[in-house]
Amino acid sequence: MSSSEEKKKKKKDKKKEQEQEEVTEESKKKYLFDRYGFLLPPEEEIDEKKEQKKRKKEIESIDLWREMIDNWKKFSKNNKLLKKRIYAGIPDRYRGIAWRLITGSDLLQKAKEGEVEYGDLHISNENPESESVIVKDINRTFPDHENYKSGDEQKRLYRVLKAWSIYDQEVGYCQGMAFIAGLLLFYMEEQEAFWTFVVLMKDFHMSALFREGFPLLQQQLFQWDKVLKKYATKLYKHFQNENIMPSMYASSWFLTIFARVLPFPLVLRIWDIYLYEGMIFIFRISLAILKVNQKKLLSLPFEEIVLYFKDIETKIGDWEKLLKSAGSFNISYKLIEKWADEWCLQNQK
Amino acid sequence: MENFKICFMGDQSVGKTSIINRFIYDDFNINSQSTVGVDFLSKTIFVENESVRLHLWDTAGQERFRCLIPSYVRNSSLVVIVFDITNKTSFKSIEFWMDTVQNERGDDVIVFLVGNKTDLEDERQVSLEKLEKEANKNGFLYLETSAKTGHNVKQLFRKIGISILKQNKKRKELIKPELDENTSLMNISLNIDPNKLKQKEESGCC
Repeated sequence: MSSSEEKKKKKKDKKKEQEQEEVTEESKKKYLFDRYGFLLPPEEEIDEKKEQKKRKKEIESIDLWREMIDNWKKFSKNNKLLKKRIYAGIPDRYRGIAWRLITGSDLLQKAKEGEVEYGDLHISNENPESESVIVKDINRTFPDHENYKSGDEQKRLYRVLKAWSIYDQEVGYCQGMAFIAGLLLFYMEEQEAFWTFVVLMKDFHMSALFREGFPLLQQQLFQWDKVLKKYATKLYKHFQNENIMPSMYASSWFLTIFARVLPFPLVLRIWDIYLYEGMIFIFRISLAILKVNQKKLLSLPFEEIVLYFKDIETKIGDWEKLLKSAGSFNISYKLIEKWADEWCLQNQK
Repeated sequence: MENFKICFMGDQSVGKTSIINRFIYDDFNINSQSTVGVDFLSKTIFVENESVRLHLWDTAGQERFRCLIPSYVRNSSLVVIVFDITNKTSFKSIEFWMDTVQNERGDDVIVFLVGNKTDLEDERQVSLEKLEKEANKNGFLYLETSAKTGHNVKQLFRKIGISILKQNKKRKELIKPELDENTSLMNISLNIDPNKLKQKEESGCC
């Protein structure tokens, strides 16, 4: 290489280096994550004061929750206190263990020890059909999250879903499930997440949500329409006039328990309560979301309503207020059950 | 302005959502989330001096979601079946998605076959000739696109607009003469056999 060529090369290298530096600076500026590891939009900075206040509150509740978790048997019987504390939000540090205790997945995991090996499930080749669907969904689950950009986390998610598709081959994997397992994996070890997933599918009947034909989803959409008719009659009528069907906006609400729909910190709070109260709370929070937006929705025609729902995460206002009002809606258990029976009767023929 | 409903279907991860996003926002997001259930977007386009409002229904691609699709196909002016040119299986699935359309509508709907991901030419598994053959056999429209680079996406929606307008004019002309002969709208709607309609509603898994 001649000296002039060498110079040129050096110049080029230097330029490259500079460019690279600029790129890293740029990416530092661009990529901010919130405390849960979600990518923040460039203009949105963390409100430090608000965050500090939240942290202070959380530190206080950490002591309370530590005591509860250490004495779960005793506290789990005190429904009033438990409910109050769950509604106030489970501290992040104890969320994983609390979710396992509330759902009873810790007991199931123990009970299945020696009978079903998680490690055998996720390496099995018995359900190749589900497997190819899972693989295509892995990097499309919480794509804005720091964790799920990495291969290791994606592998964990893959293994839990794969294990489920072997554990229950009849239901197998269905799109939407990845958001549920992904959410659990934020707070649990792989095996714990798997057994909690199993409890959700079995005891919380979520497998009927995802089963061929989506029988439970159909039923819940029917029930939801009745809830709307009874508790938000004006909106119900407006939606009827505009041909808005619940399936157009609420399918992903119910299939992922809002995991794919609302801002992550709010999703966690909803899950805290959902795991304790069950589906009735999802009807309540859905109603609260509609009530907050009732005035606006009543003024919109078909097309704008559907688009409005698409963007619902930006339209829920103060989360605490929303959760509070959801808790205060007195949707009747009896009616919910009656509507379920009605649906079953209609569809038995 | 008239609205027209368009339903997108096709295998998982072929790029249905990405094509729609490219068209609406002129943007491509490599990290798009998988669609759960159905999604909706709309846009007005101008073709042949007319503005047309398109309502786009985007559906989840996993086979299991197929049973949720009929109610969206029912009133669609046009159906877009998307496949991935780097994935033979997604091309073979066209038949499967066609069944869903034909069960609901017979041949009474325009179908557009779209081969997406032309940016991945090196990995191509389905040739343009094959697509052409499949489309011509069934009387479908066809095009290859890349949601990633934007290749042919505008063209796709222009063609969609043109064929919808054409069909709409045809339909209006068909109805007109009957009205002229003092036939009321009532009689036209009665031409549909109510028993047949009922059967249709009851069939299918949902």
